[in-house]
Order: sequence, then structure tokens, then C-alpha cells
Amino acid sequence: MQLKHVIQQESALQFMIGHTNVLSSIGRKTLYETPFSTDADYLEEEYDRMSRVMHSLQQGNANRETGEIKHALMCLQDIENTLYHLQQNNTLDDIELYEIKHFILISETIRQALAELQWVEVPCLEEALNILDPEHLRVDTFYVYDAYSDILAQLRKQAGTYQGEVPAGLIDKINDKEDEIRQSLSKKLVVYVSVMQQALRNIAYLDVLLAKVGLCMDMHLCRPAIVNTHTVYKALFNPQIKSVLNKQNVEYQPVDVQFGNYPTIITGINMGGKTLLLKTLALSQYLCQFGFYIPAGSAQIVPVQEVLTCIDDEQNPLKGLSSFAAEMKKINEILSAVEQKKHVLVLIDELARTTNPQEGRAIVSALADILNANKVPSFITTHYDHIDADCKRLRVKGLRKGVQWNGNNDIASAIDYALEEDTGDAVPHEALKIAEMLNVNKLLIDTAKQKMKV
Amino acid sequence: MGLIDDVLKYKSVSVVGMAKNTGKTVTLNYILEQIIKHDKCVAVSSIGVDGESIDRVSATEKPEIVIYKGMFFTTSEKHYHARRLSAEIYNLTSYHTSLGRLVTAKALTAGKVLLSGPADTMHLQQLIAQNRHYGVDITLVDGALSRLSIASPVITDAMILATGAAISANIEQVVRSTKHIFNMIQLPQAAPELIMKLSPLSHGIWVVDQDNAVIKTDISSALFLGRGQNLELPAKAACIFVSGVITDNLLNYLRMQTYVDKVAVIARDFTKIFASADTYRAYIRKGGQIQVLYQSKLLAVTVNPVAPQGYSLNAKHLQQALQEAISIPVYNVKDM
Repeated sequence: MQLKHVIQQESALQFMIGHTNVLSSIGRKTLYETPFSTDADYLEEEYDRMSRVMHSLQQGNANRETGEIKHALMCLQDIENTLYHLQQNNTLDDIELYEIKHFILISETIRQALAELQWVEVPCLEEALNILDPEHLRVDTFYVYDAYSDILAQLRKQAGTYQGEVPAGLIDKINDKEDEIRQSLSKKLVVYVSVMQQALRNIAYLDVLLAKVGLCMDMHLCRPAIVNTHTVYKALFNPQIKSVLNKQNVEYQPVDVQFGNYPTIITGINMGGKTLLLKTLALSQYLCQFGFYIPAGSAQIVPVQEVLTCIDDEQNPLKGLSSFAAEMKKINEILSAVEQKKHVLVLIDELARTTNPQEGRAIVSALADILNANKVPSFITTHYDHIDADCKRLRVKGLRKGVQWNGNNDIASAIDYALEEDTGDAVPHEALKIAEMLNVNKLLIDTAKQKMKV
Repeated sequence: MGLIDDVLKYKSVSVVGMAKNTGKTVTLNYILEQIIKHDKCVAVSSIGVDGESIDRVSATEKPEIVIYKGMFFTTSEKHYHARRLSAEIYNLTSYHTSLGRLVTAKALTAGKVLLSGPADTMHLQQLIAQNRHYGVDITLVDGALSRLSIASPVITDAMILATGAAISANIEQVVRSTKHIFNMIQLPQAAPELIMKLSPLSHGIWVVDQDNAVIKTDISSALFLGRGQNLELPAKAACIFVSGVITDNLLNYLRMQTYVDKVAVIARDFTKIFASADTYRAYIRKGGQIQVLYQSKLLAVTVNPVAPQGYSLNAKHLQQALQEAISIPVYNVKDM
């Protein structure tokens, strides 16, 4: 599984990738082909490289080099097809030879800028460059140089003596000679194809690396530790929502959460951030395993084979089914992965909320039992109380004590989004209070309050 | 020699043909041939391939341009491969046109090339800027006056208009059509603050009031005006900006409105005005006025007295009649 396979369905991940500023088209391609990795060594290595780059940037001792590299990356063109053409023993035309020379000049600029920095290894292409730059001018232009052949130089000199049109016979001779030289240049270059491909790959990777580090610094992400027992987030936040709130001058309240190989049921008031928490957990798991830093104060993460979610506002591919049927199909997929003993992270938002509370409650309890028996790290949010299952329970703290509601203050600031252990199994009854704060029709609220008293 | 002296004063000049076979290529080749006598670094390109769509069927039908040693030229990969000269490649664009990426190269020997170029105004602007970076003094652009082209020659500092017998077998008609285009090119430019405000608007029809506030109308295209859609103007309306094309239908509609002499129409540039000479005249007679956001200086008109159908107009009469109608120099391409 690669990043491009997941990004369509994960809007939070799309937001992060949208802010990952790769500079070249081949860099973008490489980014989208990033593998979803469960290999702790691979991920730690990736984080090591990112932290080395970040360290240099934060120290400010690589500013000139970074500027040079970024400029070079902006001029980088994808020459994969041209290299392939060369590899097949074809004779390259002037445009292709120029593409290769242009690439080598960029590659050499980057290699030299990286000399003091151990960020990425870019192989030396000077020998190949000499083939395309017989006069050692190191300028970003190409033609079949006079220096390649005295005969060609002679013929061109002769052509230069004509005031008007050059005779066709002479042009043909020049063309033949040029073709001959292109053939020999292509033959000489073939031996450098694999090292040039290596350079192209590594430079594309460098582009991705710099973009990822830029993202960490812009969004204040942290390096996770890869562990194998418990996932622990301190001060976890959702960058997209945080940026929206910050624009409105509202402070985002990060939350602490941890889990192991067991289900956790989350209850709490409406607007308490339960759905957002699930989305952020999915995002963080993906970011970690695609080799990104994490939107948290600190994080230790257990890699999983797959992240399986059932969160309603995602694009529903099963159009035409009722919301209950679509949800049950999704749950079925999750259970079949569980039965196959896959190590998955399961995130389910308000399970069975579209059916009657008695059966809904039974479905939630049953699923929690199955997940518990199979030791599946999982979260289920619900508004149902009396869930009869052996699992961990968390509750969003909810409305802050003592907040005076005057109809104008911001609802977000009236809620404490922190999670607390929930021992009792009665869910909070604050829906009407929230509805009141949302200025919902007064008649409805008053009537509902009357009915609650009965 | 007057034409070359005029051309040398500008950093970018386009040669725009009113139709095919109006001698645009002859004019361009003449300028290139003469300009090498001056100590200037010259670059040549073209606007897209839309202007002469026959090229896409058979590339050979497009006339070739003669490039001299030391000149820069920009053309597509496809046409670059067909070049008949040696050249040093300076740049390859990352974007593609319908004929491939664009190659900019410097001629090492004289010879012929087929020109193609950027298909939109932004890339043409980039190309002219890039050429200056290579030390180019003047960029010449083989322009096109076509409904199909989204690149406007108006972004060059100056223009040369090519006309001729290809327009009509009747001298009077050639003069009338050319004079109309000449008038369109000379349309007054809108106020600078309006240019700033209006140029980013790419869709629809907009109203500007006396305080320079820009208000969007719910009319998406001038084509629908009078056919079920009406343009209601606020009391303080000062002008109407049409981001797309100005058609006969639009001018005819406006002519019938009570505000025709109080509210000016602003077009992006003269290439967006497709209204006929008669419609334009009728609109102006009612007190109407058209302004443009972008203007380019017209240096000269060149005429080709020979039509592709084979007939030939009296070159001397044609040139004289045009010269009487138009206040800028008129050259006969056959005498160049």
C-alpha cells in the first residue's frame, strides 16, 4: 500500500500532503509512492534522516546550501523516460542529450551543496558530464560541439562562408556527421544509465525529505517513538482544525490518549470532539507509518498492518444502501480482517446509532466483546449507556463548570475536550443544553424538557 | 528602412496577420533579414499553432522562417526536430503544447525553421522574460488574430499588422476591413486603477460604478443578452467590463438601451472584439464607447497584393488607398 492509495479517502491526510511542498514533479511522484511501512527499523532510519536535516536547518548552518538545493530542485525535470530510451541502446537526439546534461548539472550542484551535510547520498556524475561538455564550460546549453570532431568543425566553417542559403549537399554532410557523433555520445553514456537513475531517485527523495521537514517545522510536529506495546499520545491535535480555529482566534485544546490491544468506548456530549479524535488517531497512524512526524507534543506508536475506519462523513462508496446497511457492511469488513488475525487499528464512530437503542446497545456491546477477545486496538464512540462489555471506557469531560452561557460566547471554549476514565455507565445528558447553546427553536427545547421530567 | 528603425525601438514586436496569406511570413522574414545588419540580439517565436490550424494536418504547409546565425528561436519539439540548421539548446519547458515541449535554442548556422510557440498569454510573457535573461534585445512574435487563440499578441510592446488581397478582391473592402482593425487597435485604454481591478476577472460581465466599485452581474456570457437575459444597471453605473468576447449581439443590445451613451464598454484587448465594422459604427453613432485594458503600439501595416486564389490587386492603388485611410506607414511586402 502506498500513500496514493489512501489519500483519496482521508481528507485529513490530504490536508497534510497538500502542505508538503515538494518542488519537482518527480519529487511529487516519489511522495505519492511512499510505502505504508510496519518496519520499525525503516521508520526509525527515516526519522533519523529527518531529524538530521531539521537539526541543520534549526542551527541555521545550511541556509546557503538549502537555498541552492531548492533552486536546483525547482529546475529538475523528470528524465526517467529519456534514461530508459538510452538504456534500450537508442541514439538520443539533441533535446534528449540536453535533458541529460541539464539533469547532470542539477545533480552536481546538489551533490556539491550536500558535501558537508550528510542528508542524502548523490553519486558523482562528472564523467558523464564531461561527455556532454567537451569544452568544460559547465553551462546549461547543448549542441553537437565542434570540439567533438575536426571534420565537423571544418564543414561548419565552410557553411559559414555562404551569405545566403547553404547548399543542400553541405547541410546533408553536416547532418550525417552530427548523427554519427550523437550515436557515439549515446554509446558512451549508456554505461552511466544506472548511476544517473540512482542520482535521479535520490534527488527526488531529497525533495520529499526537505518538504517533510518543512511540514514538521511549520506545523510543530513531533518525532514518534516506534514501540510494540502501547500507543501513547500527549497533546494530540488535528492540524487542519487547529489552523481553522487559530484563524478565528480560538485556542485548540490538544488531548492526551493512549491505547493497547483492547477496545476503548468513548462517550461524551455532542460537539465534544469524539469524531475528531477518531479522525486524528487515523491521521496520526497513517502519518507515522508513511514516515512523517506526528501532530502531538509527544508520541509513541505501535505500527499496525491496516487502519480500518467507519466514520460516517467519509465518502460512502455503497450509495443506495440505507445508512444502517452501509455501516453494517463496513463492520463486516472490519470483522473479517479481525478473523484473519490481521493486526489492525479499528476506529468506529457512533456504532448503530441509526437503529433503536435496545438493539443498538446490544450491537455495540457485542462488537466490543469480539474486539476484546481478539485483542484488537480499537475505539468505538457511542451515546448509548449501559454497554455490557469488558473494555476500557473514556468520557469527554464536557461542559466546563461555572461557564455562564449568555448566548454569544463561543461553544468551543465552553467545552473541556480532555478525556477521563469513565467508571459509571450512565452517559451524560447534556444534549438539550448544547441544543440551547446552538439557539435551536425554543418551543422544541422546552417541550423536550417537559417530556424528560415525565 | 523606416520599418526596421521603428522595430528596433521596442523589446518585443509581434507581426499579426488579418488572415492567412496576408504576407505575415514575408514581413517577418524581411525584418529578420534586415535586422542582422544592426548589432542587436534577436529572438523569434510564434503564438501557438491555433492561428494556422492547417499545420496540424500537414506541418509542411506552414511557411518556414529563415533564422540567421546568433539568433535565438523558440519552437516545439516536433518542429525543432524538423529544423534545417545547427543550434545550441538553451532551454526546454516543463509544460507541453500540442506539439510537445518548447525548445529555445541559438542558431549556430543560418537556416530554416518552423515556428510554434506558447498557446497562452502567460507562457508567452514568460518566454519574453526568459529571452531577456539570455541577453536578447528584441523578441519577434509570429502572431495570430484568431478566435481560437488564447494567447494575445497585445502583450508585446508593439505590433505590425499584415493585410492584403486575401481579405477581398475589392480594394475598398480590404481598406474597410483593415481600417476597422486599425480602429480597434487604437481604442483608448481604461483608467489605470480599473486595469488593476479588472484584469484578474476571467469570467462574466461586470459593472463598474462611479466610485470604481466592481459589481458582478448574473449574466455569464454576452451571447445570452437580449435572448431571455437582460442587463439591469445600477443608477451609478459608469462602465461595463466584458471579460470574454464582444459580439455583434452585445453591441446591438447595448445600442437599444437608454444608457448607451452614458456607460462605456471595456474589453480585455482588441482581439476580443469580434463585432463587425457596421455594428461597431452603429453603436458609436448612438454615443457608445469601447475601451480596452491592454493596448499595444501599432508600428505599421504591411500589404500583400497577391491573393492565394491567384488574383492580384493593383499594388500601388491598394497601398495608396490604405495610406489615405490609416495614419501610420503602409508597406507593400512585394517591394520589401
